Amino acid sequence: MENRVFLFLLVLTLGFSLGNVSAAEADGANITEETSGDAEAPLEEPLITPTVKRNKIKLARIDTEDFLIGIFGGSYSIEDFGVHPVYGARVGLLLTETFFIDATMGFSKAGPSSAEKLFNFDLLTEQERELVYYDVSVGYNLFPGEAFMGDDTAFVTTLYVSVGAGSTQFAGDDYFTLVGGIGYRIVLTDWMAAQVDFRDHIFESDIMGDAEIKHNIEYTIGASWFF
Amino acid sequence: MNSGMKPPVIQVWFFAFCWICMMLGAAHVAAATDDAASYPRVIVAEPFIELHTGAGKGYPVYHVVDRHEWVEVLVRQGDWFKVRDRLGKEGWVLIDEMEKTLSAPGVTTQFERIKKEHFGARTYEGGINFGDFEGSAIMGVYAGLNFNDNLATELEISKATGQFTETLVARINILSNPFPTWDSAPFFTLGGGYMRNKPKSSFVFANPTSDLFASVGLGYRQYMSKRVFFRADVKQNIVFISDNNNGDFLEWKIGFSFFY
Repeated sequence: MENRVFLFLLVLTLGFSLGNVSAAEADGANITEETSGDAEAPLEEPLITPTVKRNKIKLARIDTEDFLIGIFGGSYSIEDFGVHPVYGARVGLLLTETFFIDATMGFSKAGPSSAEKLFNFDLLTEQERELVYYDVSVGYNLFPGEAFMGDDTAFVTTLYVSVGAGSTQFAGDDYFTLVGGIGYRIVLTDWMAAQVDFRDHIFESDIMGDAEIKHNIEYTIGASWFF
Repeated sequence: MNSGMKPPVIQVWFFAFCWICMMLGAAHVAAATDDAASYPRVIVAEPFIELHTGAGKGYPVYHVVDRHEWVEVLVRQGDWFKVRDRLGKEGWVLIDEMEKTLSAPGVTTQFERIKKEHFGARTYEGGINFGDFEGSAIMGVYAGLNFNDNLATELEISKATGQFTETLVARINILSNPFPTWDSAPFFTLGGGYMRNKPKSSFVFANPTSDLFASVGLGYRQYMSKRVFFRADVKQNIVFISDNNNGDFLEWKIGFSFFY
C-alpha cells in the first residue's frame, strides 16, 4: 500500500513538473520572440483602437421670413371710364420693422366712357381697354398695434402708408405713374396676413384730348403669405 | 365680336405666378409642420428676456422668460425672433436680447447680422431706380454681379415714357469701384445696349425704331442699413442712329438697391 501511494505521488509530481517545463518552454519561446522583436523595430499597431464615432454637430438653421407674396382683388376707378374690378399680386420685402418694399402688378379692364355712350362711338379697341399697372413702392408702418376679437383672441395689425412709382399700360400707351396709398394689414397666423389697401395712381394722359393729370383710385382686399 | 379672344400673355403669366405661390404656400406650411420637432433651443442667461406680442418695438411685452429656462427659436423676421417657452407661450424677442442667451453651456448664441463690412464684400446686388431721360420719366430695374471689390457687371432694363415716345432700354454695364471700403463712394460705368423707341399711339403714322447705343457714366452709392443702399447715376448715352447720325441722350437716375 505504501508503495502504491508513493507511486501515485511520484506520478503526480512528474506530471506537474512536465507541465511546468512545457509551459515555461512555450513562454520562454514567446518572450524570446518578443524581446527579439523589440530590439529590431517599434510596435506598428496601436494597443487600443477606439470604436466610438464622433457625432457631427449640425447647427440648426432658423427659418427667416422676410418676404411676402400676396394676391388681391377689388375695385379700380379708371378716370373717364368708370369703376371696374381689379385683381393682382404683390411681392413684399421687409427691410426693417418699420419699412418695407412692395412690388405690385394689377389688371383691370375699362368699359365705355360717358362720351362713347352718349355719342355711340368707340374711342378705344377692346385690346386697348385692358389696363395693366405695375409699380414698386416703399411702405412705412405708421401705427403698429393689435386688434382684439372676442375675449381671448388678439391679432397683430399695422396701419401703413406707401409711396412709389411705376407704369400704367392703357389705351395702347405706357404712362409713368406715381402711386400713393394707405393700407391696413392684420396678421392672422404665423404665415398669413390679410390686408386692405387704398391707392391712388397718378399719371398724365391725353386720351381725352388735352394732357391732364388722371387719378385712378383703387381699393382692394388681399391676402399675403410670409416666406 | 371679341369674346373668343385669348387672354393676353401677361395674364397667363400672372395666373402661373398665383398658382406657383399657392404651391409654395402649401409646401411651406407642410415643411413648417414637419420641422415641428427640430427647432433650435437656447437658454436664457440674463435675468429674463421679454416676449413681445409682435415683431416690433411698438408691440407690448406680455410675458417674460426667466434665467436658466430654455426657449425654442421658431422663426426670424428681420431682427426679431419668435420663440416658444417650456409652457408653450410664444412671443417675439429682439436680437439684442437673443444674443445674450446660450446655445450650449458656456457658448453665447450668435446670429447673422448684416453689417457695413458686408457691403464692401457684396457679390450680388439688384435694385430699382427712377429718373429722367432727356425730359422723359424713366424707371428701371437692374441686377449686378461683383467680380471683386473693384469690378462689377450689371444688366439693366429701363423704360422711359415721354410726351411723344416710349423707349425701352436694355443695357449691360461694367462698373469700376475705386473705393470699395467706403460707405459713400463714387463709381464709374461704361456700357452699351439696345434702345427701342415706340411713338405714342396718337401719332398714327410713326414707326418704332431701334438702335444700338453706348454709354459712359458716373455714379454715387451710399450704404444705408442692413442690405439696402442708395444709388445715383448719371449717364451720357450715344445712340448709333445711322452711319452719319448719332444721338446724345443724357440720363440720370436715383434709386435703392439690395445686396447679397
